[in-house]
Amino acid sequence: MRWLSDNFHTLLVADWDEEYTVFQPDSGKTHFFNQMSMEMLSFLSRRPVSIEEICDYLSRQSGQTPDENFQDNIEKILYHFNALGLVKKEN
Amino acid sequence: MDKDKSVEQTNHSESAQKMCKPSSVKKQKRRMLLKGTAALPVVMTLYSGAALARTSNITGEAASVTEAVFVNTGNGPQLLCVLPKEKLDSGAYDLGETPGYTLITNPPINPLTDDPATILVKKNAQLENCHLLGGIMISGAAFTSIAAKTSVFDNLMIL
Repeated sequence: MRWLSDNFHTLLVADWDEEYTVFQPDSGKTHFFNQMSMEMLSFLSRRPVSIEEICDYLSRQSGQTPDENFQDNIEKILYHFNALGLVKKEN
Repeated sequence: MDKDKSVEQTNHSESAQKMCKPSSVKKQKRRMLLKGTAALPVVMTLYSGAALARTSNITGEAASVTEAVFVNTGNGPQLLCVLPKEKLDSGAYDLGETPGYTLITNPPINPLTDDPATILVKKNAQLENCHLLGGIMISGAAFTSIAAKTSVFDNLMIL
């Protein structure tokens, strides 16, 4: 299964020095992201990617060694993004 | 507000922040969660109160029958009995997007012949009949608020 951001181009993003406010016109909601969330969503806007690719990318960006825990957390965030309508699955 | 203005405001409000320490601590914790947790993605969502309000009508029951809405009909004043979708844990009622209602006709009130005490007794009796139907009375303020958002109460002439 691959993931892709949904209507990323419609999001209104304000950068507050590694914090981001993201207004989502489709839902009328405003989200607060940290740097890693923004990198994750931005990465998902380029092309459909698997969870492994996301973990690999984020771990390189943050200088972490990805373990099972890390992947679990990323997966939780992905499903949360999905519930918010920020990303979608592509089988 | 742009970033520079925000920084300026932060500097100028140092003394205010000292006076509001609990709020400041909360703010700091939130910032730590967002900024300090670089090892994990963090997302917090602000739900628009206005958007929620548009999807439903939540109100409490009027405090007394004297504050309730009565509709002026040819057969005298009749209690506007609103039928809630559900009672919330907070004690308020969710009336749904399009609130349902009925007018309580019994006992009939004749404002020309009934004295004020009798009218009050009859209004309370109408309220009891409304409760028997699972309905509630709403205040004039709640009526106005709901009427502004929906057309459900159009054509009603309230007292």
